Amino acid sequence: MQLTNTANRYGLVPQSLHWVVVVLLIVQFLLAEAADDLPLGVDKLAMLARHKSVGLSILLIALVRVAWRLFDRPPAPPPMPSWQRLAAGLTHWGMYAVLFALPLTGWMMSSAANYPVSWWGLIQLPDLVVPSESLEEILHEVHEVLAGTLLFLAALHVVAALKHQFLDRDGLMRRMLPWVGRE
Amino acid sequence: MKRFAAVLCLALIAGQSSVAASWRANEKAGRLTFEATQAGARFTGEFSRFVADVAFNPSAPSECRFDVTIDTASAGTGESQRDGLLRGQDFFWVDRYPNASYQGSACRSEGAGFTLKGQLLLRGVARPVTLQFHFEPDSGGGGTLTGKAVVQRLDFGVGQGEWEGTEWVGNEVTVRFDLTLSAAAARAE
Ligand code: HEM
Repeated sequence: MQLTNTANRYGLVPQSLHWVVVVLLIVQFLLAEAADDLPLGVDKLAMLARHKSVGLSILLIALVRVAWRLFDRPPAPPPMPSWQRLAAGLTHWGMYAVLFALPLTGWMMSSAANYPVSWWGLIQLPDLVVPSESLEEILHEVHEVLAGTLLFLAALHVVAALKHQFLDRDGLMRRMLPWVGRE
Repeated sequence: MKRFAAVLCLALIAGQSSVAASWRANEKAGRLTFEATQAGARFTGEFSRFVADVAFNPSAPSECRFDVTIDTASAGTGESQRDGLLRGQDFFWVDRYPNASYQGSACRSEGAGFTLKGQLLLRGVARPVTLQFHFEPDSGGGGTLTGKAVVQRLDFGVGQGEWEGTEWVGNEVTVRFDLTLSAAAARAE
């Protein structure tokens, strides 16, 4: 399998980045839920520190993915009604937008709470806003709504992929699967 | 005769010290901040109420005297949950120890600035803490005093129970001060 995209298959690099993000997102939601239920204590600090580091990693990967996409065009989709193509495009770019906005609002929220962010304790990132508890509350709400939006878009994305696989049987899904079928 | 001259010299130097200016400054005249770390990231908090009695003459540092009282309940970090935690029993325990204090005399000049080895009394524990500071004289007989001290919070029991761990909350805390000792804050000796 080659690293870059071909006419009808995603390359190893875009595929890996896609699936790594899926795994990180699952971890990310679990960490957020775990942290949310805890009172302020060492465990909460630890969970949130991990949540921040994983979230920043997702942001970094999102940047790489968008940059990669600019230089390595994805394979053309199989024939489908134009509304479906439009819906797919909107969902994909919507997910990218949220993958940027979510970590950024998280980072801003942390700055607003005067809990500066470090990436795995290795480097401390600059604060994006000055401390303000009212701003923190607003950003927390926005972060939560964006997380819900991401879940919704991801669900749509998965349902659409399954529809192509099992109803349309057009082979779309294996374009993103490293282990099925060799051409 | 030589001995007499030496004694005379000492007396003269000591005599100078009565010129050492003395001030009383509080939060209106400067800032008292602290930097701590959580999850490997540094954040800053501030004590918004304190009183510093300072006698200092840069040409006779050994005659200095610092007597600072800090209202522990005035510690603020911009996030109310954490501030509540700081005031609680596991950290400053402000109900029991409403004040922290720092006292020292006999500053030494060191490099371009000065040091003072005094005693910090915090959460009922007294321990030596060294200040490093600079004095920038102004034209009116006062000046600004800028400096810092590095403190290990656990030496004073600041952080009990699970907070005794240092993996997520660092032990080292840097306290910084910036005080304007103006004519208005001057005190008669
Ligand atoms: C794609 C990345 C991210 C996802 C999917 C995500 C998701 C979530 C979710 C679902 C919550 C729970 C919201 C709630 O119910 O209160 C949350 C909370 C939070 N997130 Fe994120 N997040 C991401 C990135 C980040 C980043 C990069 C940071 C900081 C640098 C961050 C900081 C926070 C903070 C501080 C909370 C509040 C937790 C609390 O106070 O209980 N997030 N996040």
